Amino acid sequence: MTASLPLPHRQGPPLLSALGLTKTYGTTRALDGVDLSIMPGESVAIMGPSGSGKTTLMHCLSGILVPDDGSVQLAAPGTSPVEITVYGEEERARLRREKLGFVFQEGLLLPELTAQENVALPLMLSGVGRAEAQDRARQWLGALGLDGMHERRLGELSGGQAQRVAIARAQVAEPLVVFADEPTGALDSTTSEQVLTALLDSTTGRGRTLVMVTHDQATADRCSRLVRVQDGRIVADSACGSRRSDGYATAHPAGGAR
Amino acid sequence: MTSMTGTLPILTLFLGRLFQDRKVWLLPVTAYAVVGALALTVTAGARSFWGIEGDWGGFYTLLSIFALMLLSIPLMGLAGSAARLLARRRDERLSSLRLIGASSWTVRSLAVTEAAVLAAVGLVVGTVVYLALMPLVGLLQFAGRPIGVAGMWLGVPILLLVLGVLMLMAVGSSVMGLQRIEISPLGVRTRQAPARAHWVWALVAVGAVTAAQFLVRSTGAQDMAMVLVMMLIGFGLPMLALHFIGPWLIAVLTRRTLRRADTPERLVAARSVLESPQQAWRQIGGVAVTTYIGVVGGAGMALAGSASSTGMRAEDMLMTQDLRTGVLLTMLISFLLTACSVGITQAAQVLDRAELYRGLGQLGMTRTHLDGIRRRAVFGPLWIVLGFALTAAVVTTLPVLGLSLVLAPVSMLVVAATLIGGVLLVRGGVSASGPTLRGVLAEA
Repeated sequence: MTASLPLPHRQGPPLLSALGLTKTYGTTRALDGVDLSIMPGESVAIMGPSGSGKTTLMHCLSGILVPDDGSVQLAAPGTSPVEITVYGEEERARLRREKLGFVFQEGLLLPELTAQENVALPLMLSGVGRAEAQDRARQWLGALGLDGMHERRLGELSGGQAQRVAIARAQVAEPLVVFADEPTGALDSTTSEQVLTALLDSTTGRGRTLVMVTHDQATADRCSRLVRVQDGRIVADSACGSRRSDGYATAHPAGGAR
Repeated sequence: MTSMTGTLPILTLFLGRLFQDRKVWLLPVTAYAVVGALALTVTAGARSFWGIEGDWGGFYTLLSIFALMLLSIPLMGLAGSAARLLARRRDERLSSLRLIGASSWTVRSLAVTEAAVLAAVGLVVGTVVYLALMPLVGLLQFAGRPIGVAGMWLGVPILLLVLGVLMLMAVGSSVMGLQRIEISPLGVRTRQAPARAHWVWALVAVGAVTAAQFLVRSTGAQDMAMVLVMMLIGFGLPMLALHFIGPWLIAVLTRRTLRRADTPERLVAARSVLESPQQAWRQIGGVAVTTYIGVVGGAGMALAGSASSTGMRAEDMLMTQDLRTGVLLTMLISFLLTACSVGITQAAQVLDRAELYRGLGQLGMTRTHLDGIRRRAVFGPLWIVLGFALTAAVVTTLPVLGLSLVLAPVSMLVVAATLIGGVLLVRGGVSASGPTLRGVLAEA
């Protein structure tokens, strides 16, 4: 049962704000005028039945999809907001590489690469040299409990380990927001718990922001805020009961928030 | 027996709907149409030499068999790519059928029958394309006259034999593909230890020798049989050696590339090649021998043509010229076959990895990145193979090559242009799978 707490008073400008998002597929309206603001450091769970529009909402917020109508603004702390819905395909791809991180249900790691190379890939795509990228990747793998596994391939990792590699990949470029789509959906309950802890520690535990689509109430309860979507609209938006308030640095290679 | 009776209605139901979804049939049918058209055209082209009369008639026959043997490698590579494409598993549907109670036999029969139907339709289209190409290819001149439409006609027995071999490859590859996976109601997974398929190559070799014997006997060239066997042995042993050396060379040199890879495209491409150097060799190894023979033979013929044209009989001069044309044509056709094989393999790989590519696109990897990876994964091994073939050509025939460059520079330019044209064909093969990638990424 979700604790239906009012949202706490939020100071400062939002990191991510969506206004009047509308998206239609054929005759189906996936999003119907959605407004949503996400503050820095929040962990937001988006829940809803299948076909409710939660994944479409996440895709619009992260610039994977362009809404038919409405806008999405991303504002890095200390900078003026940028309107990502007017960006072209290449610019949105660059934004996703450099400012955002992603964790998918199936991990989607390249099977021919080692764990270390998979994690280093976003950095290399952004022009960081291979040696430095792999060095940072190794640090992230170590921070997520995968010390000594950096040369392993996907086939040599368990489901939970592979998902932690995916989390390291999402974090390595120090993104402003990490988007996770059912990140524990393919895991057993124990592994799921461990992976979720790793994900939260490495994001909100370091003051970063997490937006997560999930079907699982227990997973949503670990977040600071729960947004419920139905028929393309937000029908509930509340704080969760078990918001983490412990310190940072449990899963960061440099040992602290940046 | 029970499973047999249960299988028929399922087969009827699914086969009736096989051609309703373009995504299911278009690529395999196109691939097999290309295989059919090229296999028939190449065989017919080689077969047309057997009717040439005169002093050099027997020599023309031998050369055509040699060219056919050279082209059989990339042709097998192409047919193998198309057959593997047919055997791609469609996990979701197969496991759904198991879930509702269909037996393993039913599911496997369905997969093999569908592959056979798609291959058969592709081969019918390919035969039509071969027939349509006959007037065009018939314009090629050998022994002082065009091959002509009649010369390009294979005859029904040989036509059916070629189609039969290709059909067997499709069904065989589908059966072997299914042996490597376990279909359960909960999904389809690959067995940990994939079934080895080495015996198939032995079978293919025996089949090729038998088919060649049949071709020779059916056209009344029995006296050639012994020469053919000698050629097969003389040519087969080095080819067998190359079959082992090629993948090893690709692996060694790609490992060096991997160590120095400083861009994501280079890194991923090198890793992809190292996943299976054998597969990379199967795809592009066919051009190794044809390039070697194209350069060495082209140089030799250029030299012969320029040095002794004054003292030659008209018939001899014609033969020299034909030999040069034949050598270059064989090289170009081997590149064309390789390009088609690359196009088919790449398209199949994009479909297999659709979800992964979509995910990488969401991470911010653009189509340019993915195209770069795919291009490098093909061209890395290709440059290695071409480098090997050209080095071998220079090392073994340095004086001839040097003299040809000095005495017949124009002829050598033609050889170089053919080689460049071949490389561009392979580039086209990679580009041909671009729309498949665009389609996959657009589904995000």
